Amino acid sequence: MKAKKLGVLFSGGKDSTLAAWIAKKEGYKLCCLISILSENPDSYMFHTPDIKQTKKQALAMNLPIIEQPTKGKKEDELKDLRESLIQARNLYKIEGIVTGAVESVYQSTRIRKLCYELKLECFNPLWLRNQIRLLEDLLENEFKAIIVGVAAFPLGKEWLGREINRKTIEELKTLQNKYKINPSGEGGEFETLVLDCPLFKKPLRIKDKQISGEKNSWRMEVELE
Amino acid sequence: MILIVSVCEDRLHYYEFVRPINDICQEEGLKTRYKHYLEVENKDLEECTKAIICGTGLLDYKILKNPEKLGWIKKFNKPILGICAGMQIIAEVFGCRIVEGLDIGLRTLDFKEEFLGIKGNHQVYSMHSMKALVNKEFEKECILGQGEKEIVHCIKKRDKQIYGVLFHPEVRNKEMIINFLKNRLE
Repeated sequence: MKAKKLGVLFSGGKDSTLAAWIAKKEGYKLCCLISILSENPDSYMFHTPDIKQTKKQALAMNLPIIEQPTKGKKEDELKDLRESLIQARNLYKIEGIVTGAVESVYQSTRIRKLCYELKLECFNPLWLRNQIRLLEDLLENEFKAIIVGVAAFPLGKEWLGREINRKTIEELKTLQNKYKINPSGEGGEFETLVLDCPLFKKPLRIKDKQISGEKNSWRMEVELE
Repeated sequence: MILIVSVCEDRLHYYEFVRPINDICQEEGLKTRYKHYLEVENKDLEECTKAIICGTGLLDYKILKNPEKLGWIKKFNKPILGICAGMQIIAEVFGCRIVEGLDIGLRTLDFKEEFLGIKGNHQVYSMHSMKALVNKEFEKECILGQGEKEIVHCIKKRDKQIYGVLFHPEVRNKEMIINFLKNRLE
């Protein structure tokens, strides 16, 4: 059977990258990445830290990328997403998209409605995945992902740059039990950036970084090479 | 053993619609056997204690054009739960017509009668592009809209423990699945 052509709704973080890898492993053809560059750091819909680095990740995957800017205002950002999906369908003949949605009904219902309207399949292979299992999936699939943003007590500046490895997972489990933190950051507690995974032809490296924030809200903007 | 039946034509939908149901069963300490609907054998039906027919993607409704592939539902004398496309296929096997009926999002349903252990107002997660025009073979619960716009969200076969829900209880109201698994049925 002919492999279905998919676009990846891509933020550069662990979830969208893992979802893309699962699609690839299942025999689907990844045709392009679609990244929404939101000007609103508090967007409900889209991941924002280091979003501009998705271009470097696309190069590492040898995939074209559609970068769609948006002001990030609540429902307006959907119009921009719609435009990017139409562009992907026209340019790369995609038949569906794959997303890294895990639990957010807010995000997923909006994306599903758009896809249905455009007659695109919408695949969400991480949907309802147990969050610890999801982190373990990253290790099993040899992902190198680091934390580039935190936004919840007791996470602080010291978490920036930490790799998601066995030790980090154990600490996140402890924080889950003690502070009810979502261990894979599903509640926006932290954001990640993938530096290497089986989709990458070569690993990426941090060339430069800039840290900003206060108390339990920190971001690390990086320049990859 | 719980038989988990997938009606997904696209393998990638398995992760979203079938694996979460399998995970719920396993979290409850139950053994499961996963089968695609085209691969279900008599042995699976004999060895299981219950069956769950899972949902699939909004554009993935080939199964609804081939209800005879799940004809075993008619003779099966053990409890079945159909979720979304699974409910629709159950209804179709028993002669109901399936028509277009899109709904995506959270809805509040009023369960006037207890259904799979829940009663009263509950928020449910709806994600379907088709709906069943339910016939007299079934008791109906949680009906929204009227006339052509009527959507029946829950059904139970009158003479059997065959249940169907149009929404996705694995997203909201996981306890309905657990009640089905643990024999907490009305």
